[in-house]
Amino acid sequence: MRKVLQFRIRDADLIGTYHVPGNGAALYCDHSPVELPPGILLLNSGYLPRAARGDLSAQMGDHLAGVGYPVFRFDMPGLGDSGGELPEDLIPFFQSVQNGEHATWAADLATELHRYFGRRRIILAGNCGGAVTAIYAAGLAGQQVSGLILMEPNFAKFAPDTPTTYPGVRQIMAMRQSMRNWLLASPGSRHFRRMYWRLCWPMQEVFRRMQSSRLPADTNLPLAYRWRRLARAGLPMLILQAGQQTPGPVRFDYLRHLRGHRADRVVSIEIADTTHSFVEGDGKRMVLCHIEQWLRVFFPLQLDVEPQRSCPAS
Amino acid sequence: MDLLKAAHPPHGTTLPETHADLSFRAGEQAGYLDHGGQQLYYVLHLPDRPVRAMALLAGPFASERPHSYTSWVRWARFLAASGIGAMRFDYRGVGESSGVFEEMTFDLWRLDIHACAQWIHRWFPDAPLALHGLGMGALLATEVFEQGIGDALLLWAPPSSGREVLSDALRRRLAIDYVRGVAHAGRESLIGELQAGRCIAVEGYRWSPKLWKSAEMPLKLPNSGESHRPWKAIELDRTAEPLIGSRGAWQTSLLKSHGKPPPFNPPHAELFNGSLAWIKRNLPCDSLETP
Repeated sequence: MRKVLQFRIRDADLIGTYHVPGNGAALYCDHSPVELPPGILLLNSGYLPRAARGDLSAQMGDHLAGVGYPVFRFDMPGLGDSGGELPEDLIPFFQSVQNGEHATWAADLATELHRYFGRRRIILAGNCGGAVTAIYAAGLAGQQVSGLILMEPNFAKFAPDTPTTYPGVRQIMAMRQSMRNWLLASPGSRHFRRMYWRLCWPMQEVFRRMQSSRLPADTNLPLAYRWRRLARAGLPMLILQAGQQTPGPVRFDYLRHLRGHRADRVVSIEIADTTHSFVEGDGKRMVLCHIEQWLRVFFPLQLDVEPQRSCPAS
Repeated sequence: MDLLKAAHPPHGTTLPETHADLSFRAGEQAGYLDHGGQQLYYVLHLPDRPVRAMALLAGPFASERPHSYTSWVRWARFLAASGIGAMRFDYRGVGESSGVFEEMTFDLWRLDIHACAQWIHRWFPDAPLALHGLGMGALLATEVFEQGIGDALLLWAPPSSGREVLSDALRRRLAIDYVRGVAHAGRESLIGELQAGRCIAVEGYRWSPKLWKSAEMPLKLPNSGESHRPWKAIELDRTAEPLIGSRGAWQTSLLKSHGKPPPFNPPHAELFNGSLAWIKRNLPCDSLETP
């Protein structure tokens, strides 16, 4: 069952959906004799409304509520159904998210949900921009945030294309890119694709191992350091990443770099055969399974509730 | 910060039971209709003056919804600011409405438009109603209009049939498969799966054979000679990009690799003003008394 919720926070009316858990009990109780299962607060993926692409977030809410965890999904200011202003262009919007501008709303929201829903702890969750906001907000909200579920957190700054010194270089890069795309997409490209993977994959692995000591120049340092502080403080975290399926430039492994040896409550899982939004391939099912398993380990249900269902069938 | 718990009826109407535990923000109210055993999510946008006309907004296909949402909400707010109440909703099995997508068909979604129109008629009986559809919503709104519901019909980017809607989505899936470099099935083989009675996954949704079959629905524009009620169809070009959904998103990714991405929240001034003027011209608003 779903309910509509609305909170007025810092002059913005935030609209959200509450997935009532299967047990439905003790939701508004301030003095529960047992510790209530934590609520999961899902934040927007980029500029998408709170159901996300392929309705992944909505389905996550239904699934986890069926298991016994209450789930809240809210639109940040200006997004989805919530009131507020948005810029016209994507770049300033992405930059505002990467600078943590949604974090104060998310943190206040977590505080309000903690207060209104039985003083239960809150786990912040999000994909891409939602994960970025969750990291910033966890630092602001304090004790009531007791975990993070980060899907494809992006530690690199989104920057508009900067004009290169040599216009020709840009042209060549564009030609190379379009030729690669054409070769990969053309009929009978199987041989080319196989060759591409045979040659490029080992090279990418070599590059991946070489990148060790320095963060890339475009790293979002405030975000990276906040994340590291939370990880080292022992905040339970689940990080889900889509396996690099698309042939392309190697991604810097921020997590390996930042994690160090003092983040033993960070669980990082790579899901193969899916994309950034976890909608393609088996992504949806795997996301639901991994989140449920992680919750059961770090935040086991203490109420005497029979789970309605476990991992969804493929 | 405060949790708004007080529900009160918009402009003197009485709220139905399903509103009982909803909060109300000046001008906008979100809630659920009980419909076919599911929760049909809607948002009502009301002007800050008496409602003289209503518009029921039927949105695009599921996989186009996320990308067009910002502009769709903006249009609903624009209507409300111009004195026309607007109701938008999610089809069952999609977005905020409950239900399993796999069990849905175009016919069931058409019934969702019916349910919303009935709800509007119940609570705003004196307000003339404009049906407005975008993409798949235009196709379904036309069917509903033909059944005698609504006083005017406005269509944005109507497809020639339900199959065209699904074919667009299939094309996007194939394009994504190519880019991912995974072994891909051709369009014909995916359609073959559906025709053989098996489900396929497209952009996060499981399509059933009955969805494919129900999409045979062709666009039947009202016959101008016979219909006494006004209607208008507007084709959208690239300037309306976010409204044309994932087609736009695909273009965005291409443009992004070649320079500045197009705006994701443009004002759509020409489209909005033109459409509003048409609605005002063609709805019998003048006959309504201002309380």
